[in-house]
Amino acid sequence: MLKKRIIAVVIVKDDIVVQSIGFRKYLPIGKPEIALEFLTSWGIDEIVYLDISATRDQKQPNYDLIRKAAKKCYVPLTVGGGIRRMDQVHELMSAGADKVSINHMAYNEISFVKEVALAYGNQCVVASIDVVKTPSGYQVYDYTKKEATELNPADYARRLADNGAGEIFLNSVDRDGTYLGYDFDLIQLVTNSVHIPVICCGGARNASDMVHVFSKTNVSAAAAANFFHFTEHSVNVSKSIVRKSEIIRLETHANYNDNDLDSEMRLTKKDDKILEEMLFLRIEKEII
Amino acid sequence: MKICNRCLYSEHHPLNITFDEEGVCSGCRIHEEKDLLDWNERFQKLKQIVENYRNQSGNNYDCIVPVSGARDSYFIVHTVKNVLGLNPLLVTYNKHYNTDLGIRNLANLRIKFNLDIITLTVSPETVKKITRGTFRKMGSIYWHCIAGQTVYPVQVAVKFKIPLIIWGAHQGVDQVGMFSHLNEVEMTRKYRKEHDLMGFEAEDLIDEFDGIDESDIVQFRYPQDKEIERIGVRGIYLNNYIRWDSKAQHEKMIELYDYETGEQTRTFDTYNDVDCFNYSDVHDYIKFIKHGYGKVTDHVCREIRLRRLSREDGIKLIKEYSMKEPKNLKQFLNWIGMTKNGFKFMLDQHRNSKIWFRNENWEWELKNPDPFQCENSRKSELEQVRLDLVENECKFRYTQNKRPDFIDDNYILIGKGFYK
Repeated sequence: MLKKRIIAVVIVKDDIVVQSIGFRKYLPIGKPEIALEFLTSWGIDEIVYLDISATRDQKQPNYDLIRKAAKKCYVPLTVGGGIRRMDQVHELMSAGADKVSINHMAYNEISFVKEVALAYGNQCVVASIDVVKTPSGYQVYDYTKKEATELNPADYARRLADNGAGEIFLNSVDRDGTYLGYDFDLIQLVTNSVHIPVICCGGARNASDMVHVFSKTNVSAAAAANFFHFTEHSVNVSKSIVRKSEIIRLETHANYNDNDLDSEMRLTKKDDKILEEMLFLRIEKEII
Repeated sequence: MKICNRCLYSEHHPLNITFDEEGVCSGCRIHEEKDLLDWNERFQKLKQIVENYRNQSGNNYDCIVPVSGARDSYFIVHTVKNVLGLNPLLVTYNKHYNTDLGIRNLANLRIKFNLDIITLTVSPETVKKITRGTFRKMGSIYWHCIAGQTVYPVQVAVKFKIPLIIWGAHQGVDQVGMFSHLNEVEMTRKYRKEHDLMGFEAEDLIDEFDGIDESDIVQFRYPQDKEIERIGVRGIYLNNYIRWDSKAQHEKMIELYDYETGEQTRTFDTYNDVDCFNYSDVHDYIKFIKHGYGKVTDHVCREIRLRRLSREDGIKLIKEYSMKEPKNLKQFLNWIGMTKNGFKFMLDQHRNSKIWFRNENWEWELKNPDPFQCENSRKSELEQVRLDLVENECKFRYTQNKRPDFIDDNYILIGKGFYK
């Protein structure tokens, strides 16, 4: 059985990493290269780097920035945002990307997905789908126009897979930055309709949401963006929680196996006795 | 240059900043939470968190509080010891640029709160070497202070197995709204490297050119991930749980514990950073050269958001203080052994080309000498997001100098500190 994956999403707007809240409010975090460096050293399985301003501003991906950031990234790196042509995919691959995420272009011209898959293999194509819940059910969302389309996410995912997409990156727009947990119904809807791996994103408050999504759906990977920025070693800590119920990779020195956590998945204090034992070497008192 | 329609931060803020469709910056938006959140409830949450960290055996401290003696130190210690009832170990990194007033304030803090304090004073020669290196590499004379202040408490936490560190305000939350208060952001090595240390870890300073080797940076090294994990070290910030108002807090501390204030060169705030000859002086002047704005802008933005200062009065203050020459440059140059020309040459390498250019006389000139000149034409959009003032004047107090006859003109490395 394939191991489940924990993926960090690095959302980049105007060349800085941001926290995204509901696809409209953005908080500035910092430089992509620092985010990738630390996520890697904290043991993340994969990183999805999404430039959300490139397509909107009709710009090219910022190759220099991606090249700089990819240098510090030793895990599979998916890059998305602003990809419209094949030469851009070539350039991204040489800048250090392992896969490309295609969203807007797939929606406009699905043959592009096939073209990339033919050149680099299906495993290289991550088709990204943004979804909103409307009164008439789940619908694919066009973030450039900020409106829902007619497409049903399950049908659309199937078409993407048929056209060569190797993975589906499924993002719930309604849950983005809300910390309400993943949208299980949506995830189940899409995972049931395709045979390729699905990465779910949107709404994770902490690692317990990842545990839930793995137990309740057939999703292959759980992705989160914002909460990985809040605490030290956020990835190793999260993985230590998920590992209690799922088979995942955890290879960092700091594995947090012995640490307890509170209901919000923040560390709690170790017992005073354990800390005292670590303080000095204990030698029995000599009695003569 | 884009400037926030409410406060006066520009898009060039080094911590990064975003603007929404009303032209209001992320810092102002997150600041609005200060008036929306139930701070009583949040304080209860803080109490719950720290309750878990109380030492039961009586053999160790409950937590660590990093202090400098100035900048919120009194308020943090007051909250931790007298409000939360914890027994903290105070930890200080000796920043070398100490004023006599700073030494007095720190001693008074230690005595008034009757607490243990542990101080790290790195050899002055090492500090000078590192400062020469950081000034060359990143144009910073303050790297060692920030590196020391942010790492020494973590080293002490690891050494003495005290897992909780309590910090005051998170700069990223308070200035640019990097995180919501609800995110309850904690101390991370990532933030430290990127923002506090300007991307340079201690290890990155090792350089033959600067003569810095492994042995010089030992005191600035961050503990290994495994060590942090073994102890379970966490650093929490009080401003996620307490409505942060630095001015009001300092005023309370003046009343309660006799905190001493002092005049500063490049800002109107007489409460923060009075312990340092360089912070609102040479260091802040460098900040102006590098980023086009100084500490006064930080203070003005803070006071605008706290509704004590109008935008217009803020602009006046920025114009009054931003261009002020540092008073203590000569003293710094003497200390480090550098000429003024050498200093200027090195600093010029770090001027932001988005802000400065060389004119026909090969002199540096601001591209935009008055960033606020378009204020009138933007009046309607500014009015839409303007906050009503809650206080009519934004006045900072001066306390009586406790040692009026002393001429405070030399860095005090180690001082006796308390004068009656």
